[in-house]
Amino acid sequence: MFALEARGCEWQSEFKMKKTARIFKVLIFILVFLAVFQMVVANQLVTAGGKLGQIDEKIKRLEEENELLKKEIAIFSSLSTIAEKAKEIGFLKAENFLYLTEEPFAFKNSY
Amino acid sequence: MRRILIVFTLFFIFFLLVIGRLFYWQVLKADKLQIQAEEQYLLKEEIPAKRGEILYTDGQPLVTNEKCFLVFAQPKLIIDKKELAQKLSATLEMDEATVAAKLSQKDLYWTPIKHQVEIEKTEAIKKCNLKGIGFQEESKRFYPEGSTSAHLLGFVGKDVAGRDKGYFGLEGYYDRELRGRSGFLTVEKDAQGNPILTDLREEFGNENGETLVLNIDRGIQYLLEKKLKEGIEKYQAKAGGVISMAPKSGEILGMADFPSYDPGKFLDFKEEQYKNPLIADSFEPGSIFKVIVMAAALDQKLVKPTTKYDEKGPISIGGYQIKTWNDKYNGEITMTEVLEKSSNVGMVWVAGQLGKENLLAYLKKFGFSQKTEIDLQEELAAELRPDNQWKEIDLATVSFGQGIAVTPIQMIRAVAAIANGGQLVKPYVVKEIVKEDGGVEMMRSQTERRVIKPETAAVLTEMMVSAVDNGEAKWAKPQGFRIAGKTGTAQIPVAGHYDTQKTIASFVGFAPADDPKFVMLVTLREPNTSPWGSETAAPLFFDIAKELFNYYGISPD
Repeated sequence: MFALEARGCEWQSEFKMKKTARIFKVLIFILVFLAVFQMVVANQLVTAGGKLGQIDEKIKRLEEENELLKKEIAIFSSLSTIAEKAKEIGFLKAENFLYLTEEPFAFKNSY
Repeated sequence: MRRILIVFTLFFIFFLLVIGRLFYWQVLKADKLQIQAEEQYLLKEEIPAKRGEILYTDGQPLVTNEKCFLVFAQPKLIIDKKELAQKLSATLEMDEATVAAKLSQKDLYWTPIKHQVEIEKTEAIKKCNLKGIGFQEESKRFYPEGSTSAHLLGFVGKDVAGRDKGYFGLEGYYDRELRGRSGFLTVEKDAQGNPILTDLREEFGNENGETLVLNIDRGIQYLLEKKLKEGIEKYQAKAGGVISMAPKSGEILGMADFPSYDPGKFLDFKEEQYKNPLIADSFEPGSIFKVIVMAAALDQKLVKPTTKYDEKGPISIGGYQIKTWNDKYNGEITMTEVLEKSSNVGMVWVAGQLGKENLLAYLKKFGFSQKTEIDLQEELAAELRPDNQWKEIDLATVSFGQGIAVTPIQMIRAVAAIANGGQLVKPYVVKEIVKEDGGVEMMRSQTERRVIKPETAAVLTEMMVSAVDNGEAKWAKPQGFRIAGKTGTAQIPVAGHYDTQKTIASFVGFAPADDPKFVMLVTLREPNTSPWGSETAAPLFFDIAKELFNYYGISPD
């Protein structure tokens, strides 16, 4: 009877030890996994930071180009430029106007 | 036991020293260290506010912004200063000695080389990869139409703290709205200076300036400037100005004057040139003022267009003799003819009928004693002399526009009251203010008071039409159009007397007379080809009016 009880206690303590060791292994595995994961994320963040810097630079460059284009549009659509170009390609100022004082014939008869 | 005590004491002292040192760094120096740490991991950048644009009524820019840079140097980092000075001076178009002097300031960590350098030039410098040279973003005003409309716009200079500030014209009047507010960007950075993606990125305080949309019509403004320039050359005048306004609303459609200055290079011009003479300079209006005095007499029912006056000869008042402009006298003439022939003696008689109290009351009603409150910074009120200082001769001369000073904007506003049926309106340049969030603040037309009765305005309009059709300038009038107007030739007071050779020629009028689209004032200072308004300012007025009829699609009556 006593012998059986003693063997039961041994099994229990062996079982507890195995369980503890397993938990310990799992914890070590999680720790290693998290450490590796952190390294990967940190590595990616560093790369992303670089990319973000590049994007910021690109935004700045595009904004500068946009400013230059806006400036060019403003210059080319200014009336002084338009008048100069119009003169160059031979446009003339309209001098004689015909004012219609009566309703056109076609309008009068369009029912 | 003694040894143990000694070791313990030594350890205790050592720990005290460590704790003391930690206290020093973590408590006493905590703030400084925190700042130093933040400098290492935080990137703080100023986000400068963009100054608001100024747009024509059709949305095209009259003033916009151009991105540019401050080129600065860090003298301690520069190795070959001579070579650097050579390269920089060539690109920045600066004197080499000036650049070299800036670079040789050994005790400075940072020194500015040149402000407002264009993007193209900074790109060229960046390509050279010069050590010790840096760039800081700035912004400057850009004028797509060149140096036109300078007096209307004003310019952007610096205040005492070195910040951008608008002076004169719209830039000065609306500086608060246009300026905006600079903000900051805070972002965490890594050791290489790259921003860290997941951490702090804050923008705060940045508010760009508001955009002004003007009543100024691009086509009209261009036309006024072109025609005025041609007119000044043609009539060999020293200066000239023209204002066009919508008489019912007070919207300023165009405003031009010469000589002017370049707002982008304002430092190259004298300070006296910054003020807009159309709102800040007063002049003796001459005969164009007759319509104001006639309006008062008609409104008081003291005269009618058919009332006759016997123009026999010169009139003597207070020891002075008043003559007609050509020293010719036509006998019995009606009030309409007084305006047609621009009779000075006829107007003296009208002023006599009106009397001092009535005349002064109407001058004040027409707004000649106060500012028009136009939304431009440097407006000056050409004030009337105190009531008790008006002598008989003053009342006489004021009837034909001499001995009184008015600003062009006061004059056009008063004539606009005749054109719109008797209401004095406030002139205004800005139609709407567009905020950064898209909200729009509309500027509304403001009627200040009724000046004359609508029937008086209608009668006077007919008299002014007749003055154009039968007056000295009838030869220049575009045929078939009903234009109400009046010529003026004012002598210029020089050292207490009037110079007989120097005049200010002017014409004020509105059209079409029955439903005016515009009221316009043209002035030419000291024209050389002829001193008379009928031979200089009037033809220029009609020339512009003809173009405006085409522009508005107005056909002859």
